[in-house]
Amino acid sequence: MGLAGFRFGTSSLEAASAPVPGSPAKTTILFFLCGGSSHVDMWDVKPDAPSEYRSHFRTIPTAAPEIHLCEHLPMTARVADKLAIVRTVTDRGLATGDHHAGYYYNLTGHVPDQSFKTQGNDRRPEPDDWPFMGSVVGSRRAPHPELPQVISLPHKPSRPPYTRPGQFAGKLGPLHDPLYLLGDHAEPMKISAPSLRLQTSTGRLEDRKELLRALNEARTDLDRNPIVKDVSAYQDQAFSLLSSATTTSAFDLSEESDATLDRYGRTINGSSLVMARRLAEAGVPFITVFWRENTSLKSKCRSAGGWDTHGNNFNCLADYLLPEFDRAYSALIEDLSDRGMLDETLVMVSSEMGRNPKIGDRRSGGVAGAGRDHWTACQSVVLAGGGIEGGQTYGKTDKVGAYPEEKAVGPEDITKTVYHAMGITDLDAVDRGGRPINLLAEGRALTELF
Amino acid sequence: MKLRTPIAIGLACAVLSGAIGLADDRPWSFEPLQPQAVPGVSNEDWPKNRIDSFLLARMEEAGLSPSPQADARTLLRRLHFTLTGLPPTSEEVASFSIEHLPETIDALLDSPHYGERWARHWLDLARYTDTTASWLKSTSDAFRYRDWVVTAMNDDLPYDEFVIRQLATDLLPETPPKDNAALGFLGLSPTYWKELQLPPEIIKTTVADEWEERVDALGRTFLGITLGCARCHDHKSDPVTMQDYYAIAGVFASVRIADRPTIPEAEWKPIAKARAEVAKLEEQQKALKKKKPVPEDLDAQLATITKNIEDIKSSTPHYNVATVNGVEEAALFVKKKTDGKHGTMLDYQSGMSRDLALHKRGDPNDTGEVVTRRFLSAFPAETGEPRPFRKGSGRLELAQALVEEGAPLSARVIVNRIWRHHFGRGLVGTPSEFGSAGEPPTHPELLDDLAFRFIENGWSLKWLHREILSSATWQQSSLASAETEAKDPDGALYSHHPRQRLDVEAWRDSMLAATGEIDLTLGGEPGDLESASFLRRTLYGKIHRRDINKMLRLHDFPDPTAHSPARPETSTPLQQLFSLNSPFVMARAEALAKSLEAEADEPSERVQLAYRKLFQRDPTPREQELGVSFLRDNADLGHYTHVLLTSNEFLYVD
Repeated sequence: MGLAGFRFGTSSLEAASAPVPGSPAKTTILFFLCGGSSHVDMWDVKPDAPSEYRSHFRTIPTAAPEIHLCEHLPMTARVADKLAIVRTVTDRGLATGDHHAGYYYNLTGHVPDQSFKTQGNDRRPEPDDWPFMGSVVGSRRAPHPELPQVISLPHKPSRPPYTRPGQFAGKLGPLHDPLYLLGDHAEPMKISAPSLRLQTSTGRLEDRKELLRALNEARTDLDRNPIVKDVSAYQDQAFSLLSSATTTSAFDLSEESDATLDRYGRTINGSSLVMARRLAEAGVPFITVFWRENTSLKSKCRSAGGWDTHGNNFNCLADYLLPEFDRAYSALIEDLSDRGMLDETLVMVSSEMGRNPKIGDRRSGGVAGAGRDHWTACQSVVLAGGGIEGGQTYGKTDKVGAYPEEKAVGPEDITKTVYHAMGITDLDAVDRGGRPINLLAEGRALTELF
Repeated sequence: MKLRTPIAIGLACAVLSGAIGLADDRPWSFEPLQPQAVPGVSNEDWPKNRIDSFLLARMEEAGLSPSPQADARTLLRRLHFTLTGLPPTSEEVASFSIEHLPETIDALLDSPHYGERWARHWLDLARYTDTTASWLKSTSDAFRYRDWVVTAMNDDLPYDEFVIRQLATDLLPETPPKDNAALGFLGLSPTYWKELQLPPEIIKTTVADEWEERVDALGRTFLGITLGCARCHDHKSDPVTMQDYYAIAGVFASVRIADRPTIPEAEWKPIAKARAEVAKLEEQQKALKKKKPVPEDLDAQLATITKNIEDIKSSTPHYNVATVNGVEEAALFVKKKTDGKHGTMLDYQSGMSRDLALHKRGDPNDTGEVVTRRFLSAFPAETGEPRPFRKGSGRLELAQALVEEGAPLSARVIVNRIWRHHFGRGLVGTPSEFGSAGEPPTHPELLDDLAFRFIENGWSLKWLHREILSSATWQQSSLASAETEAKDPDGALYSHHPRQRLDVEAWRDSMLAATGEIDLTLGGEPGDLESASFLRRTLYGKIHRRDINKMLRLHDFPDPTAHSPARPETSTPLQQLFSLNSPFVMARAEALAKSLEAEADEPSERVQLAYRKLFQRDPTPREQELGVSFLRDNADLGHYTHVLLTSNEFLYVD
């Protein structure tokens, strides 16, 4: 859970929040399309590619003259003037071509180490992993008075023991881990925070808080001690967090109008984005929605039910994934914009990889199965809000969308762009062995997008 | 697996060493130990022993006077926690008076719980884990090393011997095979996966990383210096050369991690052979089950093999004898696979040893001169040359050199560690960095005096504890006068005792002690901290190297992938959330409430009893009133006990 509140490294919170040019975004909402979303069927469709590559989808014009999107993103097309599509994100062959390394690289900005090659998707998250970008952001922001700094929902990908590396605080320590809210397809309007669920149901929390405060104060000698004072402050914070789970409105979707909920779509991914917006409103600095797979699609798509469309790629996208995505995502952009929150909220759509422009995957019987395999040499990342100038594309890929041709960037550059948008310039820290480290030495923020 | 490039290590070392010193400056800590003159003080009545004189002289220079002695209850609690990690009972507090302090110190040093407490401090340094990497065979015997350390502490095994045995007890004629458990310090070292499909150039780096891990853990644990830095270049700030590094790394290139028997080698040999045969038969069974098409007489075939296995087991005496995580003598050579195949083979030459060629800039694929194994050149033997390692891998000679030629460092380092645990701060602030990059000692004469006398007193840790605990300094109150507080706010001059927060083990254990649920069984296999029925001391909770229990992780428990010089002390809202909302704390609150209900009827009595169980004192009138009025308004006793368990007083020792 990401409640910041202690100092680490050489930098203090004051230094960390030093202003950068322009006014930094307050919140990032990362919408992560688990499984590897097909850039060539969404953001970078190549109508002129040879047929063994070409998407089955047509392109449509959008609100931005420069941007054409896949025909199954009609609602997104209407907000395209708010989007900046980075088409040339590549792992430069440094990752493994598989999910684990893709998560790690895209979520932390750090090249996956050798262990990802040798252990593949068995590679467990480790305590000395580089931190998730959300944890870095959370650690550098002044602590939220009652809510966690970093919240991820509606699941923790993937099913243990295949928990994806890169989504935790790693070297920064458990203090900066995200808090997870959980929900699933069966009851999309129910998203809960299990770790905040009170273990005892009776009695008022407030009474206990008062008693604790009174007892601590009765020991005045203890209260003089500055460290003990910290503990008392954190007790208060923990109480408010616990009561916030039941009392604050941030977690309560029922306050949303039917019209809003319908607009986002009453699916778990739609309601998660509504929740993300509520949390952004409440001032949580980093919120991640990991696309929740629908397991009923597993065999149809030769996937885990998400974006990993090894088989039947086009039907799975057109019938299920794109409509759900299009509705929810466009609703979020519109909603933030209508509420005047878009400038202070960076919204990023990303994934662990793109998909192979060449159609056919041996897992679904080759070309006839119409699947697309993993592709880490190229994917699109879509940014909006947080000072990003909309209606633009960045970089150019080859004829089929397989490799960047102009302005190739890596996940480290994207991560740095997030830090830039959030006004985070100081990345010095000290690891748990006391060694000074830079949380992300590599990469360059794409400042030209702003 | 942790992969660090030599370049990254070089950078870290360079940063650590900063601009301090020159490599040919000998750090203060390398100098021989000398007897020290006790300084004169004006307040001659105060010192109880030499420690006090050294500290008082400095206080007086700063115009400070010591704080008064703590009261009996406070002292007894402090003593119990520091020596055993458990609180005293309220009866023990009631019957204790300060004149009994010396006997009480002795009694607690004799308690088996003393070893449990101090073993855990050592295990932080030794990167102890209950689970080793999945690719190693043995994963269930680690606790034998933990128990060995507990016993060594309880027996007051002289520290020099404690060091030697952990590195080389198998090479000592006088220790029995059972003592092989001591080898866990090396046997439980982190290992890195070696993908043998990859070319030898890559695997050589992985193997060199492992050697570095061992050299680094050895240097930091026993000598308090960062030898690992010299893998790629001469140490920037200490007189440690690359040659020194490879002279010691050669020892680790000549041992391999292996299960070692706890019975004599001659009796073990037939068992090892039988186990190998059984392993082979089990492989056969597995292959058979997978065979396609399924053989008609599959069941019969399987049964025959099962019978063979059982026969071997029953005909081999002591087949199930315990083994321990240790090391054995074997030189490792990383080679290209033969017969034209791609990839790497690890060629372990049993009983052999090897000298390493220096790796230029830490790169094992770019080697220079061969360095014969020997001790550090900064610590020559009487011959004037560093002690050569000639017997086998040289493990035993290395271990002996650490506490003989290396005694100035190894004694100062351990004395400082023990000091730190009693006072919450070290005489040297960087407990595993005694080189020029570390902090200088705040009281150098005192440290040297203690270290010198520690050796004179047979490297006895219990002697050292007694010396410290008998001092007037350690017995001071933690409530400093306003003037003292202003002049010495963080207690750097030892003018008052620091209030210390319980570490996670002592915190969890005292909750279980307060409720009376604690299971004080000593030793044996670890249990699951997550399990509601696990009521043993926290020391016995299973440590997964790669998956540390959440409660431990939240409360500063060190990462067992590396030597941990000192636990950070963090205060976080998450810890408070754990106190407020974890099933473990809730269950203790319920248990405490039950015992109060059983033992007292009236709310006022229950409040009083609760304070005695938790804090070994009576509530003040204000606390009594708060408690009674809470219980009147809110009938749930469990809520009240829960609040008491989460109160600040429960977390701190004065």
